[in-house]
Amino acid sequence: MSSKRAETLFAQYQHDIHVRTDRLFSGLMALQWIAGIVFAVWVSPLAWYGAYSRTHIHVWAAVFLGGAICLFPAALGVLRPGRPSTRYTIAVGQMLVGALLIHLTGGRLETHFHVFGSLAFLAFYRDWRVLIPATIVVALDHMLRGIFWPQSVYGVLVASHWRWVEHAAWVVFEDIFLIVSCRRSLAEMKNTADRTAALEQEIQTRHQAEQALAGLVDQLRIAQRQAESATRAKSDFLASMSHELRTPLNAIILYSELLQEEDADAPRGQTIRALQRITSSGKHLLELINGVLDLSKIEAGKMTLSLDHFDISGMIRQVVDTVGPLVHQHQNTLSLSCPDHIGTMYADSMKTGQILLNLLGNAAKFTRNGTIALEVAYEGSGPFAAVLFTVSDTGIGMTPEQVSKIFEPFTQADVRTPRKYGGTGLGLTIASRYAKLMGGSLSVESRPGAGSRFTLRLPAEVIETVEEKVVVKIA
Amino acid sequence: MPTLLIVEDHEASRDALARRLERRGYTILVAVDGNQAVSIGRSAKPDLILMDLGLPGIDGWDATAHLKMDAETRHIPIIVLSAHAMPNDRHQALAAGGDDFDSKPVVFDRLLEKIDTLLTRDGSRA
Repeated sequence: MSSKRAETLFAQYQHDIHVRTDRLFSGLMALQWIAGIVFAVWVSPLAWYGAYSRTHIHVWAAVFLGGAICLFPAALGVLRPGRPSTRYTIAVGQMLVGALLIHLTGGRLETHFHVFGSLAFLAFYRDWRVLIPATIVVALDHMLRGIFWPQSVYGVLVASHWRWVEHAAWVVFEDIFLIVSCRRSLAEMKNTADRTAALEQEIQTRHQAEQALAGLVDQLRIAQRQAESATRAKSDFLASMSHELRTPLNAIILYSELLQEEDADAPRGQTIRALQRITSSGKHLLELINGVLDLSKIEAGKMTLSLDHFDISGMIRQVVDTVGPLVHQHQNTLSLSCPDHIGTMYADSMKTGQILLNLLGNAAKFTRNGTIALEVAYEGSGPFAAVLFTVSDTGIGMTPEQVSKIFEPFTQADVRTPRKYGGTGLGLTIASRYAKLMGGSLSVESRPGAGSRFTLRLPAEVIETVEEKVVVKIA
Repeated sequence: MPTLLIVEDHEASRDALARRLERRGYTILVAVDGNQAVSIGRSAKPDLILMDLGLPGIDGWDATAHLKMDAETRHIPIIVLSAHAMPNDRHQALAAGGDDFDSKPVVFDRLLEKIDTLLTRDGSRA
């Protein structure tokens, strides 16, 4: 498979070789002209007629005949290199130089080797066609001079009329090898051109692929910058919103608490209920704001863990102490099952405590005259060891539909009236995000009327995942 | 009883906080912007300052920095009270020279504890 590019390359290689060889021959022919003159002067400078002598005819032949056959092709090689006519002319000229040399030496046999050398030189063109005129010139020269002037070719006065055929045969003999060599050389050149073209094609394809890739990378960078600026805008918005909400809320809470305090000094009876509601609404609103901020921080990947080794039973004690009053509010009993000397774990103790407080608080909220149980157990060992916290209650339980949405934000409000059970609707969402942030999980089993059972599974050795961003759908 | 300076541009917040603290027996001074905060701080030398951050004129950060750079007022403890509740706001408030930080809405009992802690610390040092 030879492409157009390969053909162009091949033609160019050939042209380069032709030009180079033309130039080589230009120099070579000029050199041969001079060498011929030197040779003629050295071998037979003078022709003697008795006591008289004059310059030998061979010297003039070397100068003028040699000049004619050498300089014209040499000039073509300089002025019109690379053309077929130039190299055919050079081939003819080069063979005529051989003929002249043979003549000037008086048919000395050794000078016939010039013919073979010239043919080999002509093969430099890697164009077997130039051997044809060269061969014809040699054959014609030997034939004509062999018949009419054998002395000038063979150095003898009488020679067989067919001796030129033998000479021509040797030339053709060499031609065969040179032609084969030229053709092989061309085949290799063709091969090189094909491979070069293929390589160029590959480089170009790769270059295009690289450019396409660079384009994609640029697009990604732009998209990333856009995403980052969108995130920043969202963060800024949340920060401003938080500020705007907090300011009036501050006044509401302070005033309502103030009025409650003043009312305690000089009772006004009915207003106290209203004020308590303002206060609790204000506090609820504050919890909501804090919850939304926490969730947005988790979403933005900005919620960091503060990991530490801590005593599990110590943490459990604190949680139980805190949640105690809430549990007993609805005449529930709390049963704690935690092995003695359960040991330590490496996690965020604040967040772990917060999850458990949320689970126990929920259990207390939805259970009347029942039992709330917290079980703690180690599971497995080695790097995959986990700590299991199970919070179960005998409360109202949930339908499968409620269970399926329980970790989504604000779902409680849809299924249960907040007036009765309170809460922000964000607690379990945040709890499950915290569990995931620590590489653990929070799961639930529940049936209506049969209570609920939440299982928090945390690695005993939490590994901080810096890169991972937990995506939460807030809205 | 100690004198407290409340720096707050939101009138309702300022009034409610002042009245509640007065009920606890504190003498209350108020400033409505950063310039007033600095001048009252210098002239009246309160025992403690509650500083809002987002204020007209020079803001709470600058006012805090001014008061903390002045040899006359440097010793006065400042609690930064801000509705900016992002983690960074706390760092910035403390970096400006505040002695403590609390976010708004004020959790009144917690604020009383902080005031008490700083006044005791300050008193024991003097």
